[in-house]
Amino acid sequence: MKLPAGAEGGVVINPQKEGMLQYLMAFKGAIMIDSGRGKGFILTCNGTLVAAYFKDRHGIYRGESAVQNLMAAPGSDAGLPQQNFVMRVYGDEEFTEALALCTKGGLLIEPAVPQEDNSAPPSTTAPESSRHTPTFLEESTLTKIISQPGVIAVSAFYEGFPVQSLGEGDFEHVAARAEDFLRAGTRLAQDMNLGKPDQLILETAENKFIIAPCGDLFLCIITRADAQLGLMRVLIRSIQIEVGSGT
Amino acid sequence: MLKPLLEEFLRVEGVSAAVVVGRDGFVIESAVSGKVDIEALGAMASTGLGTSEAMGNTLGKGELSQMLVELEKGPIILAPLSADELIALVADTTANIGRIRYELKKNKERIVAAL
Repeated sequence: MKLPAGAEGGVVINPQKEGMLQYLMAFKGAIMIDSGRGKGFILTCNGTLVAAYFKDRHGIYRGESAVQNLMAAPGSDAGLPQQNFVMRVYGDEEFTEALALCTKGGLLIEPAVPQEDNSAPPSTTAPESSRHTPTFLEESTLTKIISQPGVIAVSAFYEGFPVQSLGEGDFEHVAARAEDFLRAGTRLAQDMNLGKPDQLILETAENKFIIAPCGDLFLCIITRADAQLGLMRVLIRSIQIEVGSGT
Repeated sequence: MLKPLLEEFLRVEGVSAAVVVGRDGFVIESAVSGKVDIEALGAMASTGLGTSEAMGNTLGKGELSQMLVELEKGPIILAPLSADELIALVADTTANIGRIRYELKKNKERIVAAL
């Protein structure tokens, strides 16, 4: 089975150890997993697990049992291989194609089909992805971001004013300066014919400062230096797609 | 001492004038780049701020901290400095209003100290 390629969404290593598993699922696409014990994938739609497949030396797993095997937490640090989670972000067409393949292959989460079984389960309608584009971001979106390890503050701003914020910081200052940074980055991108910026990242020795468009607003995220930038980028991208401003 | 502080506002992108005005409408000190009729600005800023302060008092909303007038060719931000003085910042459409607002809040005490 060959799933659609999708857009590159980043790679995360050992997300279970970091407690990041739940946040990885918050996008629409496929997560290709190499757990060291075996390989497989999970098809997810904005946090809802839709289908899964896993193969190891013991056999092939589909649906719920595949999820259980894929999500099995790594044991002690000593001796076990690392788990690689590769995100592929899907648009509507690619997701539909992937869903059709999974349905045909009996991989839908409900019902689960353990071991090798070629019988096709009853087709299940996948949950419809919401195309709602809120004027403001939902509280849960900012909470998702502030919960990431290393994130100090997050603010959604507009025209230099903070609109919604969480964490510690002088948000009027943050929003004002973030607007400056955004304008400078946008001008540079226009001058160089690079198109519209998707993300702007400022890294210093102690912190990272990330700006990204998100619906009608712009997100500004301040993190410590040890925050995983790749994970932040994946999360931002999933949020952008969810609110309809992702490319 | 006051003029250098006002000139700092001109370094914020889009700001064309920073003017300290007495409540009687007369300009006390100013920093301007380009053409701004600061005498007219002083007179109208004093009137406008006074009216807005009265509105706040009458409606039980407390003291006025800042007033933003968004106009076709750029904003004007007014703020009281003391019982006797106020400040007016004039900017063009390229200005980051949030930044101006923040810079004004940040520097207000320094400006009052220089009066």
